[in-house]
Amino acid sequence: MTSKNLFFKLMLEDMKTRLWSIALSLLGYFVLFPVAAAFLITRKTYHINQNLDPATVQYLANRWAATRYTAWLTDQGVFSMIMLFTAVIMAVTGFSWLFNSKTTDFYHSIPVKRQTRFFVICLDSLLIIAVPYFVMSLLGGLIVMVNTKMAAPLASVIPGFLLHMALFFLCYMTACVAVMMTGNLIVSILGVGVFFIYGPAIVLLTEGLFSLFATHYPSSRMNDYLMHSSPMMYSFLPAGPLQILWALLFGCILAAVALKIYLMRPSEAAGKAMAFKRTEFPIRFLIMVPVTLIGALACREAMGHDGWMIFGFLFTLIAGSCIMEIIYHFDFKKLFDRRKCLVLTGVAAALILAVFRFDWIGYDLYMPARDKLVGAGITTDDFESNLYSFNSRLELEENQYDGTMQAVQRNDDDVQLALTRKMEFTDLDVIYRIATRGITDSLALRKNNGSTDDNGWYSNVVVTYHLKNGKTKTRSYMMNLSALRDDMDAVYNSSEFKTAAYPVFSMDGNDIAGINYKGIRGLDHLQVTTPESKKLLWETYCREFMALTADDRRKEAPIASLQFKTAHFQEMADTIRNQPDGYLGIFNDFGYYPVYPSFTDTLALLKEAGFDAAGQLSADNFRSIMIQDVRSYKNSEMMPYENHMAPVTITDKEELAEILKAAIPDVGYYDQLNRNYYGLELTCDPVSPLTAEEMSTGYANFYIQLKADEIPKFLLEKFGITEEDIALESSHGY
Amino acid sequence: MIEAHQLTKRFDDITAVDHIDAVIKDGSVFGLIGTNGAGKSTFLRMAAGVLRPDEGTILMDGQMIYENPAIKQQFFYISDDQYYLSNATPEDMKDFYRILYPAFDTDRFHHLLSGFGLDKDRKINTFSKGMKKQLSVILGLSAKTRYLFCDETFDGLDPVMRQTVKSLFAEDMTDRGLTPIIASHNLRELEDICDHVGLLHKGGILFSRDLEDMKLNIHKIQCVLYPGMSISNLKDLDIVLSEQTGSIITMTVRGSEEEILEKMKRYETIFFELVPLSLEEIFISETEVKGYDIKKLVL
Repeated sequence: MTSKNLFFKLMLEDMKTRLWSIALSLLGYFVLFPVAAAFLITRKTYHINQNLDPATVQYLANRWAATRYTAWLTDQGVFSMIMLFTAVIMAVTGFSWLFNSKTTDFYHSIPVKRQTRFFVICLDSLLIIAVPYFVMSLLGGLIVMVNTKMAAPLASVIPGFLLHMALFFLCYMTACVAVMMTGNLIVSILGVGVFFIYGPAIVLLTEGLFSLFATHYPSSRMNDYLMHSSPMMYSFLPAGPLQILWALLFGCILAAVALKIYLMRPSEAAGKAMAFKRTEFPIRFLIMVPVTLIGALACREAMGHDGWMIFGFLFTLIAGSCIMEIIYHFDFKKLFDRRKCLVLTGVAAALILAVFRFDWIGYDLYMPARDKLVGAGITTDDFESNLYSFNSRLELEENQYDGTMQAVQRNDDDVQLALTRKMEFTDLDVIYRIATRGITDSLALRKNNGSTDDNGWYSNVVVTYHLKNGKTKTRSYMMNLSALRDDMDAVYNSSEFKTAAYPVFSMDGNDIAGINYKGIRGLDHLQVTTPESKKLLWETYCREFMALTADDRRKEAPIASLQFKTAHFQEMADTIRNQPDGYLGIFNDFGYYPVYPSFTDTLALLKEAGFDAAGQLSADNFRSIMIQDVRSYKNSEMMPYENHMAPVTITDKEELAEILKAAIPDVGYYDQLNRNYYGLELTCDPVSPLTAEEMSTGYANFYIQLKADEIPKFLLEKFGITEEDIALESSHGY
Repeated sequence: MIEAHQLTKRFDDITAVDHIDAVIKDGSVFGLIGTNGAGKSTFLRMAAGVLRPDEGTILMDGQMIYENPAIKQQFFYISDDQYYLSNATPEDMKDFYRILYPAFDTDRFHHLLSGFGLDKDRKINTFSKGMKKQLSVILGLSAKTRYLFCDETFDGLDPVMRQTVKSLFAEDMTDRGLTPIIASHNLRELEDICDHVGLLHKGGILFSRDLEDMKLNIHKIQCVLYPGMSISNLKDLDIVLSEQTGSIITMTVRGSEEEILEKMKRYETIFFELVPLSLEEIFISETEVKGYDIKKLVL
């Protein structure tokens, strides 16, 4: 008998002992694929707009069913859980004979090498899952194809199969490693759980330690680690061949590890908690240290006090260690059997806690040496309120209900981090002053439980240091920006910040398909038709926007805003526009850059194109302005304001001119460095009323707000507005 | 031939088998005797390649047994609580073992199965303990291996079955040179089948001898002395044990039959005769010499 024959026969014999899992697998995948396909076919028309013509309804229904089945085949949510669950079941049941000395003796006494038996079980487990999966998904695909006349579901059978089998293989081998290291069913299942959650738990614990104790830790910086911390996270990786290869590669490594452990595993391990006695302490240590720290952090977070943290630490350490001992020995009398281990675990956990609690690694005081620093990326929310909007992207997706396309806006996870990573501001003096102040202010705030005596403008500043060795270090400082206004202004004014923060600077001037304009009357398309004129306006705008300083922004308010549309953007907008009832809302609000009065060249070009942005706030354009007092609080007492005056309507041209001089018009861009008073609501009545078209894309009324420092004196007197009121009801930056 | 050299196995702090040296020759029945916990099963599990020795070696035909399928095809291991595949019938087990043992004799399996009155299609989990033991022996004999390792296999068999199994063993030993290695805590069970016996105690081997050799050199005498005489008068005899009940004296004496008869004739006795020694009595006398109170072990 050849060894190949023996292997095949052993596989068959093993299959005979696992008929129940074959039956369950067939049943499960029958429900998940053919039954699901039949369900989709039955309900396909329920999801379609029935007002369309029958042929379109039928087409959309077929496409809906085909798309849904295709999506189901490559689903990474439900199927990830199914694959994970089945992998654990197959691994634990496939090797459960190792937990019993009777069965272990039987299988280890027969003339079969251990590695042969290992591969027989592994291959059988894979086949038990893979064959029913493939057959049933194919059957489901055929059902959908026959009923929809669409081939897409069939084409997705193999990619979906590979995607899910790779996940199964990875999870199965992980579970096998855990099974090989344990000698008892319950401990084995616990071990599998530990293998799956240990990585994410460590990453989250590290995140928790930094978040809780490192004052300058920028939050949520562990996503990359989290994604690769466990086979469980496989489904969060971008789907594709790389994801599959990654899973297969790690699965093979884990298979080699599992086999190696199995070859080393003594038969007498059957029935014991751990297969290898020498692993008991390291495993207990590796589990109990993070568990103790999690207990300590949870208590501190819940109760907000170091005393509770110590209680949580001791309680978790002792209770957890006792539970571990019970698991190891199945004997309550052994609760405190290994006191040395308990002490060692406690000391290690305490050391780690102390490192973070007392910042022994100097995380909060970190400032790179000058000779190691190339530059830094620096940003704060106060620089730009539209940062997320500017750095997001629009994508088209199909609406399955009626087959139309719809636009969705997507962002990077952390726009500020991305900005500071690509920004390289090189004025080291400014960087050091900001960092020094940041460290001092943050630590003082922490010491005083977040309160401070000075009246400065505190805000969060994210700094990413770019080191000469190519590495980056990011810190987040809560600091007094007012005290460092010049340095923060220097950062904002720099081309490095603007280039990193505003995608408009990295556009291709030759790729501009169109320019939209928003003024006080709402949105309009600029009649700039030639590519040269579009490029000229873009270049002019960029030049003036690049020259804009933080001081300019404090003095001026934007009087218009511009949207530069790329060919791709225009194409997406046209796709939406050409659809029946195509709604362009998201396009109309996306990525508008401010135009300030000091952008004279830009304004001149706009005027040439028919939009006199500078002149739109002329008193001649308005018949009247109605002013409503909307103050929320009584001055100085912070009590609700009850006696609002009746609205006042201003018609006097001189008074109108005074008001409009201090106006901050609503042009689709909010500049937070402007000091903006919102205690009065001003509604303008234009001489030339809004056209129907303007009303469709703009506003039914003209609302304006007032610069807090330039409110006309007559209004202050008329409404009894004091400096205190202005301070209470105005926004401002640093 | 199976050779154990300084074979040692520890389970945590317990030494189950402690530096055992033993040789099991082909064609004989080797009895492995000892109390519970003496190390018999551990020894057999090492011989079957289930356990890896901590120290020493155990070889079959000069080759390591552990993880050596070619060598493992030379023996069939019947544990004290034999495992059968879940929901299996005797027929299923036959199919399974046929894959593993090339010489598996299906005809003999069916013949023995019907001889023992076992249904080949009945689920084994419905069998009684004794029936399971019978099936394990049938499978072991049908596998036609050179060695058959039996761990407490006779425990649970009724006397008739026990004799039947012994006959089968004898038949296979004659026909094809089978070497059964039988572990048991019961001396009486092995008395009429073993050629060679190894006595294990607390992991160590007290001795390992051929039964015939032992029987040739030790004898039991029952005699009645004339009044005024006592055992102390029988100075020439190498008395291992003696016991007097009324006037009848029973002695276990070391020496050849001829030598003892000659000496007894020189003493004037009312009556004397040589009576057969049981395996148990041989062991008691042999081990007491070595300072062990073997009665506690074997009775």
